[in-house]
Amino acid sequence: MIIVTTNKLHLYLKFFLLYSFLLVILIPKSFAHGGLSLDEDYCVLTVGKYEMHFSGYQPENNGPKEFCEDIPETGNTIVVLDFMDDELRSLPVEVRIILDTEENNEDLESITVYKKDYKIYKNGTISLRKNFENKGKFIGYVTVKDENNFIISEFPFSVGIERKSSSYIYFIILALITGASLFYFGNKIRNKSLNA
Amino acid sequence: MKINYTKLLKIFLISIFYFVIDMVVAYAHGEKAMEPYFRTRTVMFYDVTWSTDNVKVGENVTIEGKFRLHSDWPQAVDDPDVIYVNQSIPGPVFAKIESYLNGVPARQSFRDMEVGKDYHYKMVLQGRVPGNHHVHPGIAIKGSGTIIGPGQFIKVSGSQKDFKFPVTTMDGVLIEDLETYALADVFKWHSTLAILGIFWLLWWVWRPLLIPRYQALKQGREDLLITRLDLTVGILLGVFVFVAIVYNYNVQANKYPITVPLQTSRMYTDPLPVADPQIKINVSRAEYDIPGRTMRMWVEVKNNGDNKVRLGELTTANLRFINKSFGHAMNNVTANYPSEHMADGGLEIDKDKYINPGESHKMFITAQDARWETERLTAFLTDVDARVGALLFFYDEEGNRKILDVASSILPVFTDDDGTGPSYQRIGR
Repeated sequence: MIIVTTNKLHLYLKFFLLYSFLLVILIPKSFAHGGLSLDEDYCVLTVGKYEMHFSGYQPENNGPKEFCEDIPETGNTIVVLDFMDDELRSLPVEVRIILDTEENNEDLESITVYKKDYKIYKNGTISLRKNFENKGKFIGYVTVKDENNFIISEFPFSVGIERKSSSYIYFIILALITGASLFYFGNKIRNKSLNA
Repeated sequence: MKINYTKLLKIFLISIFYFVIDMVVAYAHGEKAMEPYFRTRTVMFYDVTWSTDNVKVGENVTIEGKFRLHSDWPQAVDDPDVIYVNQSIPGPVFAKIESYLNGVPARQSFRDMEVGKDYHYKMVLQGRVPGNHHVHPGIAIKGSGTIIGPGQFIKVSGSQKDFKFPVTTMDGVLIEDLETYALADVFKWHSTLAILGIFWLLWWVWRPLLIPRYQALKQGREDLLITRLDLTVGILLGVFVFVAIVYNYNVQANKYPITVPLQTSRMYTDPLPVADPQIKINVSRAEYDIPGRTMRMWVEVKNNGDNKVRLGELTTANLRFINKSFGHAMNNVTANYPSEHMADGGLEIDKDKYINPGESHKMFITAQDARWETERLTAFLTDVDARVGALLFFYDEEGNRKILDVASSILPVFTDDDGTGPSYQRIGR
């Protein structure tokens, strides 16, 4: 005999749907900010319709370890942008690192700490070398000249500021909701069975 | 209580929706997930051509080329004792009409391939599903997987309804369309067997399930587990399935009296006859400049032949670095070769020259491109097998080509754009 009653079946289904819904909405694909995102384990910078692969290195401190967005320590830093779209290889690209003043600043030059002028990179790769002497917040500022249009992408990053990951909070919330749901629905099913 | 089927359907559709919103379309074939030692030191594709990049549904495209089984075959990859000539396409968007290895039909797998030798493959595909499809040749290695060659986008235009796959059997029977041939029989058999399977499953779901059975066992009442009714139904079902199979087997045997069983034998072909290039290469050092996305090799080339030779190309993992200042090397690049497999900057060679017969010449080769990174070829920095392999193409003054496979351990380094810079930037030295 089928023991599960249709009433309970509905409750189970509701619970399953709630759970799957939470799984989908609470686990985002990336926890990055700005123009950078993690895509299939790539650190990707979106510039209009184009994409670049972003890598940061601090060989003095971390050997060949690669960073996406935030640079953990001050010191000599290398940032490499690899073009993921071949069209970018024929377009002039300018790269700047500017101070993150958290204000709208009209005068870009005054807050620029590093600049690589417009150039065509036929090998599809740009490397920037900068010695960050102090901790701080910066913005990577990439401009692509596509015919008469300027496509700009900004990616904020910090140097020497430890950013603690908060992604585990989502899992804790999910576990709490799952536990509470189990308790609630379990009680409901038990009460209905007793009343029947 | 009555089941509300509308509600159930609604719930089912919402569930599907959750799955769909998190789905992404995959365009690649997974080659980037393969370790670099697999892609740079096993099947080395070269001279790949596609007869066209635009076909209508029902029209053919021919893909052919050669590959060398690299001499420095990785230990972690099974030897090419059994291989299969395959294509890598996004689903059955093309129908494979013919395939050959060294001119031998390649319907079956080939055995005893020789490492360090060259083979020629050819396959003819027929456009089936409209769209812009990425088409690669592939060589499947038993025990290790399929290594994929360069890919080209081929546009298939028209309507899938127009696709017909006519075949004439060995006894002269014309099958007008293999796509739909005997499809009714396929559906009939699958649905019959599925219904019987579901019936048998539901039968036991309907009977007392796990806990009552456990209790019966605990109380020593195994006799209650299978009732007389269960036994009757089981015997009836078994007899029915047996009769159905015997009856239908006879019907089919009478309908198709001449059949050929699936072939399991393995084919063999000798490698292509390739003359000894009479060139010896010693790679004294190889390094990968991480920020520069550059592979550098220090090699010593000894020309033991009778003609002068000059380095024209380095190819590895379907990436081609061409010596652009050398005409014979440039002539070897076919028009419309997919740009995604060409390194725009080409191959830079310091002391680039023709090497005289009997001469030893030291060269420094530089291959720079972002594709080292975007094609995920730099995992050799963390692999247990940190070696990189490649094919080097030399040409004599007449344009005759000599191909050599090279391999070397590779070290990760950090250097400035001009190769200088603080000492910290050079690690591994």
